[in-house]
Amino acid sequence: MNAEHAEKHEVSAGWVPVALSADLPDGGVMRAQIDAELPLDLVVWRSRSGQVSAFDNRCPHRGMRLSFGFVRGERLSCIYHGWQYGQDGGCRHIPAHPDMTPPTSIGANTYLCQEHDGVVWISQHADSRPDLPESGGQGLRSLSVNRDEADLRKLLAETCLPVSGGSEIAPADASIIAETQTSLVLEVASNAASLQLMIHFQKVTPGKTMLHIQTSPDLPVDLLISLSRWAERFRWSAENMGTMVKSWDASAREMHP
Amino acid sequence: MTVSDVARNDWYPVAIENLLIEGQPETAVLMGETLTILRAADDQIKVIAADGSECPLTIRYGHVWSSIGQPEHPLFDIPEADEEGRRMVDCGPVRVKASPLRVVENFLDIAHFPFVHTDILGAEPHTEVEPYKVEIRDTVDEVWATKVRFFQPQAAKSAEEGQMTDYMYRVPAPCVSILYKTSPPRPGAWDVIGLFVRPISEELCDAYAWMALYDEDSNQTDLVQFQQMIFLQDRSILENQIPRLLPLDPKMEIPTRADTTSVAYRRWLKRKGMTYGAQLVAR
Repeated sequence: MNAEHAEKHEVSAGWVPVALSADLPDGGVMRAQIDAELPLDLVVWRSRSGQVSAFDNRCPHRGMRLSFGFVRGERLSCIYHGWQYGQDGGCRHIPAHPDMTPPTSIGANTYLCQEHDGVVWISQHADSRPDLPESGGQGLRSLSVNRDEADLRKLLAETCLPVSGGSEIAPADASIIAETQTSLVLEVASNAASLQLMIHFQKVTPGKTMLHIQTSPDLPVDLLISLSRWAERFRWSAENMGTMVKSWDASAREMHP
Repeated sequence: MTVSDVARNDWYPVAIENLLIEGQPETAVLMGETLTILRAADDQIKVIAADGSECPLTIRYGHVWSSIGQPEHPLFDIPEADEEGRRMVDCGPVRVKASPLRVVENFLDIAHFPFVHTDILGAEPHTEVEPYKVEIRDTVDEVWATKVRFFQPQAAKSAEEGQMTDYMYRVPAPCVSILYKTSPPRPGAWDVIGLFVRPISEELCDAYAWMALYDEDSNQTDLVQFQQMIFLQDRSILENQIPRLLPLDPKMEIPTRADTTSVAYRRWLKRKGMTYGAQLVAR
């Protein structure tokens, strides 16, 4: 296997991040696409009691995307005919036949779905390593970028981060202090109050990656806003320029001519 | 893929007759082929293929119908279209990124009314679909569903309150669905709503809704907008059904008793050899 194929194979064998916990509230339903050995199109949802589940994004009745569905209690309902699914994927109720118990053979295909320290993870393999990848801090935002993960990791190694907010933005070189199959940690060099970003990678489709970004807890709001703007500038550079632009002002000018 | 003979040698809507203006030809794509529809100086309507040849032509139900093959049968008949006192309403084409067969099948379904057309054609908790009768009428080679009943909060523009509505469904051709429903101003008579679908490709079509109603009070715009609202709600579903092609392999999608019409429709398509817009095995 060449290196690229090996990396792709390894990622699909384990956990993939699909959301920051804060972005999936109780009763929330979202779509997640994962570029794995076989491309996955999933519905990820949270029951009213807070449990997360993930299914193939397709109702077995007439093929409607379940990601358009709605949550009632501990069940996900398909928007087309209202078929209700429990967290184990089994169909529990068919409104057209309200007195019938649906056959146990009717169900949505499920995936392991767990969350820990602010990130929701999916695995398509039943025998995944039970330990979830490390995460933590506070959720900043998720961001979709039209660039391969491998390129993004290289570009992140060269980026600058804001270390204070408001009108006194002072960018500082960041370096990768930890890197795993699923994530990396950026830290700002030489600063008394250390600022870290933890970035988790989700390959969506070839050439498109979702970044799920957490940051150090207890940061002031204006710094969080500056970090969010950094993320947008980073995306713009990654999508529009071959190499990273280190100058803060230059990239801002390019982004908003 | 090449278009099967069954699909090719049939009638499809290409234009609305009273919108054709002399000197302003229209085009319509039918299964990948571009047709030009024009009204000549002598008021004659013609449909011309890309190679310049004339295509078969029928003008009926306010629409111009044509073919890229040679239909061996005339266009189906809807006798209600000639009845006194009825209003004819053409609603115009709506483009749908879905298989024409999925569009027809959705039109035959009532179990989705409380969820897709909430508080109009259906509402919880009135979700039950009672058994109804489905047959393939071999003498005319059409699928018919009768004795269909459903509780509706607002069954038609003319309805003032909720009622149990009686329905009949009819499929006279693979890309045409006709429904007959209780007419609120005339109990005992049927309002007729047709959905005439032109496949542009296997996964894209233009759907023309048409109605022959008893309604003396509503204005034309309101009638058209009501029907368009309903259809746009359906379109949100149709464009998100996977796979796009209608599966004819019964193992791929799971029907219940409420889906008896759709099961008969899929079986009838398979028997006819209508594969355009369908998939026989999981792809």
